[in-house]
Amino acid sequence: MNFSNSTDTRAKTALDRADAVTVLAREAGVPFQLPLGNTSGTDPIAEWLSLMEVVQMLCPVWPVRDKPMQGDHWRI
Amino acid sequence: MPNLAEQIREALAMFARNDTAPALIGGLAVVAHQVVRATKDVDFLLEAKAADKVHDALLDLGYQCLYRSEDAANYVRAAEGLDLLYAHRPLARRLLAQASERDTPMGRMRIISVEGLIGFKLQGYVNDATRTRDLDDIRALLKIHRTSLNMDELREYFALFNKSELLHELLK
Repeated sequence: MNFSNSTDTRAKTALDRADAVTVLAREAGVPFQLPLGNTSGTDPIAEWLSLMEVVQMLCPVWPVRDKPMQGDHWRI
Repeated sequence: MPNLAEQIREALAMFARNDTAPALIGGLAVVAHQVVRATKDVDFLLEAKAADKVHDALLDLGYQCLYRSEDAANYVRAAEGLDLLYAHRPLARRLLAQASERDTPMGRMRIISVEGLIGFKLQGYVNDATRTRDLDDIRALLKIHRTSLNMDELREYFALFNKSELLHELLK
């Protein structure tokens, strides 16, 4: 049988990305962080829209806030 | 299925019709500052003097007001939520004035600074300690933007809530 050994490569790439700064677990738990600055051409909001398309397919009923904002410490 | 992008586009158009330019805060602002996570929080910082006309406009769009005070308001429409914080204190007014504009897939919108966002997240956490998501967001934002943050401004926010020690712990 012809097995691909690309898993190691993918794992290394994932680890490299995680080395930067780990922020979000997605893609089966692979930590994900966009590169800083605008040089990458990646828009975080576009990435979020893409992510939310999948989230809404998996979880079509998302809990809406069921209680108002509360607290007595409004200082900003 | 509710369309988040369409909801935000509609809100931005409503704000423009009412001659007000709020700034994005909350979970989606966290995303805009490079921490991409799942959220449906549509939160805006709005000038306080626009509160009444925006309230009427949201009701016209079919939202129901769950709560409204001089500081904040929560609206829902079926499975969609939209929250407002009102900028009536000098600090919030300054943050609103300094918010940067950005082109997004939903249109051009203003986004609060990372420091201001951390300040509001801290306020949310202090007001409701069960909102640990706020603390997670602060931690992530500090981690990503640590080298470029205005630390004096951040210290000001944490001191405002008597949480200077918390900032120290988060930066360890």
